[in-house]
Amino acid sequence: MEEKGYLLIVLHTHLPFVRHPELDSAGEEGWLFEALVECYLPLLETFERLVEGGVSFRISMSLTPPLLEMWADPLLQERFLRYLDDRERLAEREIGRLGGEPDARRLARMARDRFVRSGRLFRDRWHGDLAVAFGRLFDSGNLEILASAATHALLPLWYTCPEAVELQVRVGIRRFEQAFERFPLGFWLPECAYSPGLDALLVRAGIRYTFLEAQSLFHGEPRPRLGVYAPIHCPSGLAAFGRDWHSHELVWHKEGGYPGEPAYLDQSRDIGYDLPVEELRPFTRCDHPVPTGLRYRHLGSAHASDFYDPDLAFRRCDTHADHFVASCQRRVEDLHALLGRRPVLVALFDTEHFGHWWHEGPTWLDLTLRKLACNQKTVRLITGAEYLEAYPTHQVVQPHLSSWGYQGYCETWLMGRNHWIYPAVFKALEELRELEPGASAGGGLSRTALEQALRELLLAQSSDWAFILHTQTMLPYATRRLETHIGNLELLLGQLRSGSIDRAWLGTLRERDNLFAGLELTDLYRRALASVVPSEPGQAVTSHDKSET
Amino acid sequence: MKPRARLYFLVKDPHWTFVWWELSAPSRDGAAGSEGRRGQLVLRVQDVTDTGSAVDDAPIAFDVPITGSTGHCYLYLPVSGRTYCVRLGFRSLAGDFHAVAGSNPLSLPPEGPSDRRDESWSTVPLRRDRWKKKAIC
Repeated sequence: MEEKGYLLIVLHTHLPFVRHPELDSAGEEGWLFEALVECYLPLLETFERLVEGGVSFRISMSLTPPLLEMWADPLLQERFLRYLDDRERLAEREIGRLGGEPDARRLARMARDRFVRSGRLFRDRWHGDLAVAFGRLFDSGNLEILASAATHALLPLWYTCPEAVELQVRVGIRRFEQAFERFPLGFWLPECAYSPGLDALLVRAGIRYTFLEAQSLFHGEPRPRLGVYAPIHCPSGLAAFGRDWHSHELVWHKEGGYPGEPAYLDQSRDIGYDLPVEELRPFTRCDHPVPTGLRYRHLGSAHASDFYDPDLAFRRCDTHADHFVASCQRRVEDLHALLGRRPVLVALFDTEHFGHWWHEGPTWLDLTLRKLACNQKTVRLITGAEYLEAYPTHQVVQPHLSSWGYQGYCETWLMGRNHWIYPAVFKALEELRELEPGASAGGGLSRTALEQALRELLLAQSSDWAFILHTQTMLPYATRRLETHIGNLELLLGQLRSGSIDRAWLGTLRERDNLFAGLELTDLYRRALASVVPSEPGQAVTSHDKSET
Repeated sequence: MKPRARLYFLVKDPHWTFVWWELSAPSRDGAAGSEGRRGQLVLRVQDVTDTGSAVDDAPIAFDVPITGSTGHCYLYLPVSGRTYCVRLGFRSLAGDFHAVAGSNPLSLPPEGPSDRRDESWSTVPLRRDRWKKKAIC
């Protein structure tokens, strides 16, 4: 069977910047540790194993700047190893507690082995530096890493102050260069959120392609003749791939999709929620229930002694991988016949879905990549850059505002509980603009204060806080973070205006909110201010493009 | 206190927008005074799609009277796919409008697919080898 089309899988990898050196232990840092154990390390190991086994695959991954900062942070690395030790001790205790339940005991042993193995790989194989390990996969050509905005700001909502968007993009690109020693070709728009004008801004920054929600293309001007099965060129020259919902649904949804399989692990039935907090505190260091990674039930568990069976789950995973490959083959063949050219199916996922939300996700991905590489030739895995190199000609379409959030627009991040964020930060941005020339020229302490003000600004822009205020899941924490960053920003601006900077407080702040310490934020901000131009559709073919052609 | 007026205009979906404004007391008094104390503070919504974002000649979609100390509202704009500006100002009894703050132009997305089916295609070559292990800018 000849090659009929392509599958482009994108894993969007992001967590908000959570680091609390002022506390001995912060439960929210557990978001990173859980994702490392359940998702990032298993995926990294999977990809390395595929490369070592000679299996050629293609995956695109965004690694956002906050995540790169947290991965590289010595304090968080140390705390992650402490977290693994705590969890290993807890698993040992569980092995003893579950003496009369051999099936559950086996699961506790497997969990303990995973904690031990994670620590060994993290320390000895990857030396705590995951960006280097992912960078090696990037070099191998199997993985294409995408840049993203500095702190995952929902860019269309910040467009009122274009320099804020410019700064997000410039810092994101610079952090990518710092981590991977090359310029990014692709850029992940946080929450897949696009509005007209962003394409020209990205092209000016040197970016070549991005990914958009399907309706952004479907509602584009004019209608895209090939739908989402080929990228379009925005009038600025940026290529944009549209999301294929069908590829996404099967893998994402619990109802009707693979993750709802009754044999799969029930992630919600964690002993962290079942056992008393006091009993777990020596292992979790938390005064409230938190997930521990010790889970014994499957989604279809009917009674107390109905435990998860990893062997059965693996067999179901294998079946689901077969189904997905067959489904892609069928669709590619049908679309090939319909369109008269090779379609590209673009599947966009949050990386944390694989392992953190869907326990068997990394195994499913491993099996799927192997089957696509070895068992068939109809569908070829491809990256955005590879595709655009092979196919440089595309229809010119002006996409419209969209995101991959609820209803496809901005309502998750702009509603009654979170709309206060924007005016508060816009006002600070206006003051920053008025202050900047003097502050950065001042040098010394005022420059340091301006750098920190920009850090606080970027942290306040993170879409994660607005999202949490919307969902009300960790409301006090997100509110505190926003109020703290906006408050710090206002205080710093006040001190810069008055010329009396509190050196000791600034030092404390720099120690706590320490991201992007290796970047010249004031220079990037000055350049962002200078580059702000009216952004109309249809403009801006940059010198970057001309050198290419 | 320095006179100051601010207004921010954000898009939520094809019809709903969010407007936030702030008007300092000197700014409010000065502007109201120049038009007579009986001027009504309003948000003026204008469709600037066909005027290149210029508000002077743009048709007025509607005025929203501002009462009390409200500083924000969600505005429903019946026609999607157009570009709007909002200005905050005082409207006199004679109908004159004195603006104290204006927004950026804001484009609402269309609700559905375009009727346009004309096609143009462009070629943008990309050479991946040029990007390997080097910083371009």
